[in-house]
Amino acid sequence: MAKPIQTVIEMSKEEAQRFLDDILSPKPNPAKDRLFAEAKRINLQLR
Amino acid sequence: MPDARYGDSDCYISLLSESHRSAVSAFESDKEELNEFLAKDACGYQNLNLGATYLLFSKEGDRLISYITLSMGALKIPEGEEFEFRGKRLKEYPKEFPRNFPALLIGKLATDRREEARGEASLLLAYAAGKALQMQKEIGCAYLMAHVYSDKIGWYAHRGFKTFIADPSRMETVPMYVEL
Repeated sequence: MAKPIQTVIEMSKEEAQRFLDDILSPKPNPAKDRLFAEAKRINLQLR
Repeated sequence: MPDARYGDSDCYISLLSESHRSAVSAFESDKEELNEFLAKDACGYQNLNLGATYLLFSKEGDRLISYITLSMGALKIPEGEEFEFRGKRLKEYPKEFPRNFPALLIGKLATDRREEARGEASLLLAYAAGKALQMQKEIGCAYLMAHVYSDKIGWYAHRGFKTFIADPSRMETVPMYVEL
C-alpha cells in the first residue's frame, strides 16, 4: 500500500531552529527565482 | 524512444478522473509506491478532497508522462519551545511569532520510466509553483513544499528547495521547501 500523504510536517526543536535561521535571514536563491520565473512563463493547457 | 525535451506546448494537463483508468493502470515509474498510489489511492484522495492529482499527457499520442498530487499543507514548529535568532530569544522578535506556516504540498510526483529526463517533472513542478503563487495572492500561502525521495534531493535543491533535516541520507523521504 502506498504511504499516506503527510500534510503537516512537524519539526523537532533542532529542525525548527535550522528552519528559522533560514527564513529569518534569507539569502539570495537564484534557483528559486528561476523556478518561479518558469512558473509564470509556462502555459500548460488544462483539458 | 523519442529523446527531445518536452515543452509546455508539447503537453497538456488533466485533473484525474475515472476516464483515465487505462492510462493510469499502464503507468510505470521507478518507484512502486508511486505507481500504487496513482493506481489505487489517488482517486480516493480526490473524492475526499484530500489531494488533487494532475496528469501530464503528451499531445502526440496522448501518452501519460507524469503525475503530481497537490494538497494543502503546513510546516509546524513546536509549541512551548524557545528559539534563538542572532543571539536573542525568538520571543522577542516579535512576541507572537507564528508556529504554523501554510504551504502547498507536493505529496507525490512521478514520471513514467519510458519518458524520464525530458523535462516533464520540471513542467509539473513549475505548474505547482504557479498554483502556489496564485494561492499566495488569494488565500495566504508561504511555501511550496514536497516529500522528496532521497535520490531526488539534488534535483529539488537545483530548483531552489531546502531542507531543515540534518542528515537527509538516513531518511527514505525528506521534507523540502521553497519560500514563495
